[in-house]
Amino acid sequence: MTDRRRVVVTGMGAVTPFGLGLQSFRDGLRAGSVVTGPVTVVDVADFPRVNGGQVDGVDVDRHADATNGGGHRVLGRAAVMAVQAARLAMRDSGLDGTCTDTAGAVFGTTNGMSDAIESLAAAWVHEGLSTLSADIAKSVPAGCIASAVAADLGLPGEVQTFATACSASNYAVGYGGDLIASGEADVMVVGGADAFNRWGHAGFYRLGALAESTCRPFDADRDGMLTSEGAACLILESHEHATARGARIYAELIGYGTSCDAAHPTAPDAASIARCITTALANAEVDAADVDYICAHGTGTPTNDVTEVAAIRMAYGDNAIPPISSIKSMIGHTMGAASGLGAVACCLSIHEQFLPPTAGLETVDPALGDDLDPIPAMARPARVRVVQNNGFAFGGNNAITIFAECAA
Amino acid sequence: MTVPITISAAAAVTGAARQPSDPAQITGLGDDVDLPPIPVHCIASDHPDMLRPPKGTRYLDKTSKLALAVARKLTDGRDDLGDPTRTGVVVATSGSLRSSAEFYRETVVHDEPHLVSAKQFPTTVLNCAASQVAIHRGFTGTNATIMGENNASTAALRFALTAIASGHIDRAVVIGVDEMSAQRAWMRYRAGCYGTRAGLGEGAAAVLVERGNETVHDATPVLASIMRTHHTADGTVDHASLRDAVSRAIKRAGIDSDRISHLFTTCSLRDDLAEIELAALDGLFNLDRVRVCRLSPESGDIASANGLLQLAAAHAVRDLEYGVITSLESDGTAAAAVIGGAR
Repeated sequence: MTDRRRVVVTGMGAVTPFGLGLQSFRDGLRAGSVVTGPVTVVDVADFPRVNGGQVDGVDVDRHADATNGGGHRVLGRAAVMAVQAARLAMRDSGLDGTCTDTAGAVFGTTNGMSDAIESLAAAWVHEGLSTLSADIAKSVPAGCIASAVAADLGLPGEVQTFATACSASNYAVGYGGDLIASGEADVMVVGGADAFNRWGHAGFYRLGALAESTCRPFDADRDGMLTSEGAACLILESHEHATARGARIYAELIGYGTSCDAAHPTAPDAASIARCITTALANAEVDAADVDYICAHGTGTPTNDVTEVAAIRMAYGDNAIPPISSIKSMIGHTMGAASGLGAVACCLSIHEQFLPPTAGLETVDPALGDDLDPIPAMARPARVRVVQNNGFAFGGNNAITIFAECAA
Repeated sequence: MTVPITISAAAAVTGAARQPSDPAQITGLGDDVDLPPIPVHCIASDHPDMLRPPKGTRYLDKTSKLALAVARKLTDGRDDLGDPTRTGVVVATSGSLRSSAEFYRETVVHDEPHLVSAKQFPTTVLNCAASQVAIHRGFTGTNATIMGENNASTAALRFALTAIASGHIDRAVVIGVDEMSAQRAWMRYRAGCYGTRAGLGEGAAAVLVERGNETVHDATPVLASIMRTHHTADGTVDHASLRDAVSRAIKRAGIDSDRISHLFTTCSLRDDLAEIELAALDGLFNLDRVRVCRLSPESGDIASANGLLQLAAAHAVRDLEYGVITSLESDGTAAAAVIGGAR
């Protein structure tokens, strides 16, 4: 990113199964708390697998009434969580929506307004599509996520919603960073959101990807992922804008990279992921040896963990793999929010000098290599300068963001 | 934009030449599903561009099939696309509402809700079309899917321009695509997002966006692209964001607004946005002097493809000095792109 403006993170918000806010997210990560369990937010009691992650305290009506300058607008659950996370992040940054004339919102999602789509389908099943309400119809488009954030915060700039599945937040973070680095914007509100949904739970079950009780990435006895929900938001700001106002800086976004497998709709490809890692590190102008921690995509399925570790070994060559962990072990797979929450975890890791753990890990899978350090059970103090945040997705959509300690 | 970027090719798959379309060909219809009382258009299965699809794609949703068709039309026979890792795919779409709704339906109408089709599951994920284009055309660079209805095309163009200017890729296949299904027709109808006369349609448009190359003939330079948002107290949309976007884009392009010869609008097929779009432009241009190019109503409103249909049309205009492509959505977001005449 030579000759480009520096981009820093000055505010963060997290809406997760840990709770609402950065404090609960930080405390959960440090303690290695597992907060997945039987899901009630959507009825999945009739499935062979019933565990997952869910966020309590999502208030759709309250936030819908408050958005769009007071005008009534019904929002889907993912958009509400995005708005909640964005409000938290904005408050954390000390900015407000009128901070600059170019501030915009870029968010990612996997399933968009899944609850609105399920309501549409329920209307179809029970009384016919002609009974669909206008409020539900208006809340179906996935673009509502970023536009709801922009409306709620009064942002006048660019609004984009990416739907690159489970790497979508990293696309949003990277693109928002590019807009600041190139001088198009001084502040961007970026992140991702997804709501728990029944059809996704069914699909992942059918693929054989769901764990029976807990998600245990890198464990020899891991048996899959847990579907979950949540939202992440980061306030990206140009370094000069942040320092001019004396803002607290969590970390610097020093680069990102993407690749597409172009091979299979659901199965990941190690060589393509390795190329994504190499591209991201090159974009950030750092070497593999500089990386102190990897926040893994770490779904906990037997295949994905093996592929991810193999890809890292390909990209890192003779360099040792740094400590690596999966926050999905604690909160489940939050889909489009996953790499956004990974980004929040990375920035906390740098700002507070600790390594988030892989909870519930008992025996590291020997097939992953004797040298793998998945930070079992609890967080660990460490010197953290540069971190790599992995995000991979259906369709072979890989995106990786790189964060670093912010030098003066 | 400091990096010169051009449109070097364009293609479209629409049903305009095959009117009227047969409603029975619309996906998602069944004994328990009818259509709303507005015109609805579709691309028939025997449409020339839809024949001979790639092997193994019969199970795909219509959105993905249309995206594959327009990508093939755009890139077949091109042996000058260079390193596939430096070629991205950017798809603007609403996704397949039918796929998601049907998949959910399968979980509630059967006694064993988990016995859904594993093969169909990826079609419920919004990036299915973009990944299928990558798989079948072999492009392994950045692969993005952009949501946004009428703004999606111009937003996707913005993303592609930024990805190229930032050095992530050298070129991008940018596609705008939407399918028409009974589910989507009812959603748009109930939301009030339609035009009484043109109704709703399906189709796809695509352009090849590249880092500027002086050796490419008939390339259309993209000079600037801006997205803006304006929020009103009562949540209604007005013309402020579009007027702002157009003004800033022209300023960014570094040209005098008097040199704009063509305006390519995208809202003319929607009752709720057409007048607002024109009002925004009326305050900036002498509409008696500038040629205003509207979308053809024959294919219906293909929301996510509208901006790229217009960009493809602009690429073919021979007497264009400078043109502006505009878009606006009912959430108050707007976009404008300034292009030059083809060299």
